[in-house]
Amino acid sequence: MTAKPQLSLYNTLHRAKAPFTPMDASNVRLYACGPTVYDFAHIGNGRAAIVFDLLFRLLRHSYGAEHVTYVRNITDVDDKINARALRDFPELPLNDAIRRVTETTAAQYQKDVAALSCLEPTVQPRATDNIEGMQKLITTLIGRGHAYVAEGEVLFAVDSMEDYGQLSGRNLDDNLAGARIAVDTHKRNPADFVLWKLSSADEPGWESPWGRGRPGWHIECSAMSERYLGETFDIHGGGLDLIFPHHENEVAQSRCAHGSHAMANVWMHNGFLQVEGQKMSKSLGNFFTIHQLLETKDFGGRKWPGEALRLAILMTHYREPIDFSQRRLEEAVTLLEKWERAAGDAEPASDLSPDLVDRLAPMISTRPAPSAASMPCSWTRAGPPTGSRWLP
Amino acid sequence: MDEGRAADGLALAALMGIQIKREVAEDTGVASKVAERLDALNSKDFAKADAIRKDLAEQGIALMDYKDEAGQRQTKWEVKR
Repeated sequence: MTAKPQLSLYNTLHRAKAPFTPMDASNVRLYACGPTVYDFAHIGNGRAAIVFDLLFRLLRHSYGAEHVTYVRNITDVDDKINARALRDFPELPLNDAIRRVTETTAAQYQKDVAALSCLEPTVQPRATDNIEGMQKLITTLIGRGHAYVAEGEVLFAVDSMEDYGQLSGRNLDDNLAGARIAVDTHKRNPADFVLWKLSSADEPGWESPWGRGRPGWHIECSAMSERYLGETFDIHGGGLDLIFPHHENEVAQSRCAHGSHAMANVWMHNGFLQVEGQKMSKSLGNFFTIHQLLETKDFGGRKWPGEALRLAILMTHYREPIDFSQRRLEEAVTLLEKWERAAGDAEPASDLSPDLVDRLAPMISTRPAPSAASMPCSWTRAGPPTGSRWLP
Repeated sequence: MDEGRAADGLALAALMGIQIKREVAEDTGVASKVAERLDALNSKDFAKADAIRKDLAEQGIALMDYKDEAGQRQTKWEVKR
């Protein structure tokens, strides 16, 4: 048995890298925020799926495939879903229309990320299967004085948590009423956020002690991570854009409900993705879905293989911003072709030496991966990407 | 090329979730078309040779001509990604 490399992970919570030691090496627990299923997943969503899939693979390699639990949720209750259901299936009863939207979108997502070689997570819970757990958490939060009912909503009282804002580094003074957030008079503090809200007759809803309603966005992940990973677990991941408010509020809910010091010990966030030098947006015409890249000629006039997309994403260190472009994809395709030629008749080695894996580990530690331009040489001259220029 | 390095590289790429070697497709008649084109070239029927190259390119097959040690014209081909 060869020694496995110890991963060093950058923790958003401490803004520093530290050697990773799981709470229980026989069950390493990872949670990553999954898709809200109302539309095709875009390449930015693809990046998050790939980054945490790579982490999942490295953890499995280090601790054994059966000793890692990876939970990626499916958010299937959201006002954007309702709007899409009304638009696309106006003839169906709302609940049926919603199911059509969420089921087809979730199936498409699975297909897309499978084409990007993402392994299936251990559990992919749906929010709507976990309403009971959310209600239990909300009841506890009210009981402990961390939440209150006002004007048909249950709200989390941020002032009830002494160290609210630790993850994002924001303090409550940053959220001065009127400056950036509209003042809601029913909130004790303008930063208070919704745990539960009442539904009108034409909105989806579940019976609850606070009336027929639906959950706020953040409570889902607190409930689902607790159910499958426990009150405190090892790693929580997601895109940089989720740090505030989503992850900050998850921490607040989970810690205040459980009276714990941490929801997850390590928080990891992948960087932003731009397309051809600009923020991806439908109005700029540079918004692309994974499906479009794989199955249509919308981007660069050709279809792109999944492994080229994956490599194009992994050529940049996960915390760095990516400028996704046609050139980058072409570069990935060229690399794959060079490597395939260089590999010849060789078969993959059955056991990787630890020093080789050490070269891969930096992809998820703080050291930036080499620039794409510096990578190809080692493989083409001397073989596959094992040379020092592939990974530092 | 060093077999061991290639084996390590493939295994490392697999750990990254990147499959470098593609499944080898069943014989789709490419080899016979390549041979047919070589014959056309040798008999200076360049129009036919170009037509075959174009036809194959549309199927994503790239051709590369070279001379072997005996100075004979040969063609290598590969499937583009």
